[in-house]
Amino acid sequence: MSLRKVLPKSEWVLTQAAFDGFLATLDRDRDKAGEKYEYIRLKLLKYFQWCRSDVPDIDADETINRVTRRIYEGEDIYNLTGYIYGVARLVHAESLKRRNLTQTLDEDSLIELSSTGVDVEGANYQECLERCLGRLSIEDREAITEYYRYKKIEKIECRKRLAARLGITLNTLRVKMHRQRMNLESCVEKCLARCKYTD
Amino acid sequence: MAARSISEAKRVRYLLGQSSPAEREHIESEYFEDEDAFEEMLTAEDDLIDAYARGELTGEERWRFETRFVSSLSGRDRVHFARAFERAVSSTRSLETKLSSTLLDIFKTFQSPGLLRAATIGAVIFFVAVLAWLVNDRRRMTNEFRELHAESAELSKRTEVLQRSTDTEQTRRLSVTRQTGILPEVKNDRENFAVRKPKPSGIPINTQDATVGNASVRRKIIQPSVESLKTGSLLNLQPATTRDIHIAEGRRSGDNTVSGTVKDPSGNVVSGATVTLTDSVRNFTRTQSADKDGAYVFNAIPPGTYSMEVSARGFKTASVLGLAALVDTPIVCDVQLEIGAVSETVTVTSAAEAAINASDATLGNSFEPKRITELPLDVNNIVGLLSLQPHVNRTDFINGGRADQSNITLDGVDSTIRIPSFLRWIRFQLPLETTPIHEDYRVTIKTAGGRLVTSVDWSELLTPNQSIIDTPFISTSDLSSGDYLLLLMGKEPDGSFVKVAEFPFKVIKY
Repeated sequence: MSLRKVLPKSEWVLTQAAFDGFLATLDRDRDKAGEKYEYIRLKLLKYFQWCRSDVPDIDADETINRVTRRIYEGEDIYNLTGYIYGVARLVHAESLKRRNLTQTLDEDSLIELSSTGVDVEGANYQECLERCLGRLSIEDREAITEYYRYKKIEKIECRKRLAARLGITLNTLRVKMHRQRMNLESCVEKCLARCKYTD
Repeated sequence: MAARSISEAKRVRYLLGQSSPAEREHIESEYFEDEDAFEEMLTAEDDLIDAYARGELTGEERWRFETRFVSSLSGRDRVHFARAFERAVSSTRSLETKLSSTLLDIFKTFQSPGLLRAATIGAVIFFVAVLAWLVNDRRRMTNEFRELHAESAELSKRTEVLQRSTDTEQTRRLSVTRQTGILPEVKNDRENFAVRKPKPSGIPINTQDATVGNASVRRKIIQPSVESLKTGSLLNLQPATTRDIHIAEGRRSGDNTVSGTVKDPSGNVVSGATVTLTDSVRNFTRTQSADKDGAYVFNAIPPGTYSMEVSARGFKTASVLGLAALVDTPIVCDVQLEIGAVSETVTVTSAAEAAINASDATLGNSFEPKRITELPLDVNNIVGLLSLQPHVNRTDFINGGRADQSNITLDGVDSTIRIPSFLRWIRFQLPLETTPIHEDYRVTIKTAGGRLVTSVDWSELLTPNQSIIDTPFISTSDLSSGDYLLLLMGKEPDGSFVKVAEFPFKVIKY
C-alpha cells in the first residue's frame, strides 16, 4: 500500500493524475494505452448489457473509476483484466441490489418493436442503409452480404466457403464481419440522425 | 436454434440468460481475458439479433431476447438494423437469383439445335467479313506506303538536281565575280550592309581632306582573317568606296531579281522571246526564253547596271539600257516589242528607279555618287552615310537592333573588326592602289566623331609595285567598340603629311 490517503468510495473523484496512472498501467505508449482503454470499456459495456443492466455505460465507468482509484492508491495489480472483471461483478451486484431487479421482468416492461416508432421499411432507413453499403468497397460489400445472407445450415457452410475464399480463418472472418457490421450500424445511425434533423 | 456448435450454443445461452452461474462465470472470465473470445461473443450477438429479425428463434428464445435486448434503446436500434439489413441482403439475393435464372434461360435457348446452328453460321460470317476487311485495309495501306515511298524518292531526286544546278550557278557567279573584280558578298545571319564596289571612274585621288563622296580612291576592305586575329599579328583592311553605297537589309543582301513580261504592240504576251541580260563591265550574260505567258525572271542577279535585249521572230529586237539592279530591290521591266525584222533594234533607256519591292520582305536602297557629293554631309564614315537610310541612325543602330548586331560590308566584305579581349595589339595591312612615293608614313585613327585615338609614324621603303603596306602594331586598349576612321598619311619632303588613303571601319570588342 502506498502512503497516499485512502478516501471513502463516495468521496473519491477521478482526477487527471489518477486517470493518467491508469493509462500508464495499460501501456507506456499513451496512444496504445488509449486504444486498450477503449477496448476495456467496450468489454465492460457489453458485460453490463448482457447482464441486463439498465445503465451499462454508467456501470462501466464506475468500474473503471474504482480500478483507477485502486491503482492511484498504489495497489499492486498483477492481472489487470481479471481484476477489472472482479470489480465489474461487484458493481453489477451492487446495481442489482440497489434497484431490486433480481426478479424477472414484468410483462409491462417489455416493449414491442412495433411501438418504437422506427419504420425500418421507410424510405429514410432503406436509403441510409443503401448509402452506407455503397460506401463499402466492392469486396467488403460482397463479403458482408454473403456472410449474412443465408440461414441455418446454409449459413455455416457459406461462411466456411467465404473464409476459405478470403484465405482467413472462420473466427477472423467473424470478427471482420462484426466490425464491418458495427461500422455499418454506426453509419446508418448517423444517417438517420441527419435525416431526422433535415426533416 | 438448431444446428449450432456447442461453443456458439453456450454463447447464445449466455446472451439469452440461460447459462448456469458457473458457465456464466466461465464465459465472462474467458472473454475478459481473451480478446478473440470477446470478438466471438460479439459475432454471436450479431447472429442472435439476425435470428430474431428473421423469426428464427423459438418462443422462449424470442421472449428472452426481447427482455434482454429490445428493452434497451441500443438493442432496439440493433434489431431495426438487422431487419433492414436482412431486407437489403434478400433483395440482392433475389436479384442474383433472377439474373442466374435469366442466364440459364438464354443458355437453354441456345441448346436448341436450329438456333445454335444459325448463331454459329452468323458468327462465322461475321468473322470472315471482319477478316476480309482487315486484309483489304492492309493491302490499301501497303499500296499507299509504296506510293509515298516513290514520291519521296522522286522528291529526293529533284532536290539533288536543284542542288546541283544551284552549285553550278554559284560556281558560275564566282567565276564572273573573279573576272569582274567584285568580291562575293559575305553572308551573315544578322543584318548586312553592302557597299558596292565602284566602277572605275578615273577621278583623281583626293589628297586634300578626309571627306568621302568624291570617289577619290578605289578602295577595298579586306576582312581580317581569323588566323591573324588569333595570332594578333595582322589585320587587313581594304579601302572603302564612296562612289555608290548600297544598303541591304534582310536575310540576304546583294543579289537581285530582274523580271518582266514581253508583249507585242497590242499588249498581247509574246511567248518564246529570247531575253538576254548583260553587264558588259563584268562580262556577265544570262539568257532565257519567255514562257507561254511572256514572262521572264532572272534570279540571283548581282547589283549593277545591266542592258537587256529581247528578240522574237517577227519583231524588232528591243534593247533596254541602263537597267540598274540595286541591292535587294527586284526590278520589273516589261518590254513591248515592235513589229519588224529581228535585225532591227529598238533601244530603250531604262528609267527604272528603285522600285517598291513587292516580291519579298527585303529592303534595299542606293546612294548615287551625285547624292553623296552634293549633299551637305558632315560625315566621313560609312555609318554616317548609312544613317541617311530609314531605320538607321548615326550610332549604327538598325531597326532598333544594337550596333554589334549589324555588320557593315564594303564591296560585300565585312568592314567590322572583332577584337577579342585577349588581343593586346593589332596590325593593319593596308592595300595601296597608288604608286608609293613616300618613305615615311603616319597612320592616324580617329573616332567617327573626329576625336584622335592614336597616331603612329614609321618609315618604310616600299618598292614601286608594292600594293600593301603594314602598319606598326597598335594597342587595342585605345580601341573600344565603335566606328573609326583610319587615315594613312605620307610624309612630304617639306615635312608635312598628306593623306594617301582612308579606311572607315567598325570595332566590336568581345
